[in-house]
Amino acid sequence: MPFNPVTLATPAFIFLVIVEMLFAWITGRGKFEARDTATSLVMGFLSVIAGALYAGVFIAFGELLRPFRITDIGWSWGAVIVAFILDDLAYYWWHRASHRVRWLWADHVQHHSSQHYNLSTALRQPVTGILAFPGFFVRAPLFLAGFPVPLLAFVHGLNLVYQFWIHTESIGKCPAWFEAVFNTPSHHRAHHATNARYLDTNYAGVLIVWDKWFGTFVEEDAAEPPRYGIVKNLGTFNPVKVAFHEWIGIGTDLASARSLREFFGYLIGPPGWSPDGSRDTSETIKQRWADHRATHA
Amino acid sequence: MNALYLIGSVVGIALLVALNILLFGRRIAALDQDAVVESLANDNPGFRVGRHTIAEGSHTALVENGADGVLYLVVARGSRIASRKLSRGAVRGVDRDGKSIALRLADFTLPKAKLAFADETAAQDWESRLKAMVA
Repeated sequence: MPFNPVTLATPAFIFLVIVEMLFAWITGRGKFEARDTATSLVMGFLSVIAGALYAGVFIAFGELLRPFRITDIGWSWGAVIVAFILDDLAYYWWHRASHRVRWLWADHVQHHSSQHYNLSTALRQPVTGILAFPGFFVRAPLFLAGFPVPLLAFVHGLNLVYQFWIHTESIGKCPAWFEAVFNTPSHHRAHHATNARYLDTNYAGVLIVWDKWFGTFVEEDAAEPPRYGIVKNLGTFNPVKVAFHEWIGIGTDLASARSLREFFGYLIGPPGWSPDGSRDTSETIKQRWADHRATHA
Repeated sequence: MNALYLIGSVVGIALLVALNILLFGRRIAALDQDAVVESLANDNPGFRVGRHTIAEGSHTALVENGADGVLYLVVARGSRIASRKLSRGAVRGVDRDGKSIALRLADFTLPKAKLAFADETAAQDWESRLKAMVA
């Protein structure tokens, strides 16, 4: 890999957090809270450490599949562009699975756990990626297609760097042509929201077109400002508890499972699944609101 | 990762958090009826405020949904609010000491909550309601 885009961009991330903080303070467009910021930054730091392990396994996985590749694709601008687009498609499906499969959600929920939405939230990255290893498989086709592993790691890094700036309330809407094609702060605010209409939408990394094509796109509505966080917001700013709370929840539930159906339901069912339906999933929340609107129309 | 990177990261995080405090202070949400009702109504269609109390200090509240009788604990967490449905099994223990109640919850990120009431009668009243939730 020529360089790690995320490592190179980190000083810019820090600078932009400061800029946004000052902008929010001056204009009131955006909110920051010290303990929330601290949690996000500490988790970002820990994720860099954990990420080294994750990257090693990611590369090993790629090298494991490499002998089975169907062709050899070398480094070229064309290969980088094609790989970037295909990696973004793979990201969409990984991201969608990370919201719909509790095993993967247990890692991804860490990023969604803040009730604020600013550039420090972008740095609130999961520290347990290695535990959510089934997510690796979504990139298997790219390895098997013959893209060099360092090239795939490189374009994935570019994808993550792009996603930093969309974690802000300081930018409203971008020009219409840009909103139509790319992921933007507006689209991603809806993604991070817990309002029923926004739950499980806008999974895009860079290209919002994937959500439009696969039916998961919802426009941010000025009449319904996003409320950030998760359905059951955390009662702590402790980064360790933030990192492990859903894993603890899975473990507790698996220990109480009385059948294989319950075991796999708790593990790979949607977040909130329960055998007796007593907990909320995104579907039950959306249905409850739809029923309420229907009876109060 | 070398020591310089580690130290730099720790110092950098500390400075950013210090800047956050300097610019925005350390506000903790003060619960009032409007804030509590809005929070619960956002998450529960058809929510109607029923019996409720906001504990002394305005950082914790107990609120009944008048539409279905479900009781909620609402707590300030920094400048934001978190709520918990207090269904049977969600409450591990209720310990009253005069006008205060200490709640123990089956919740990894919100294991405890303390509520101080204006008088002991109110505390006793809520204590018996909450004890019915204990599994």
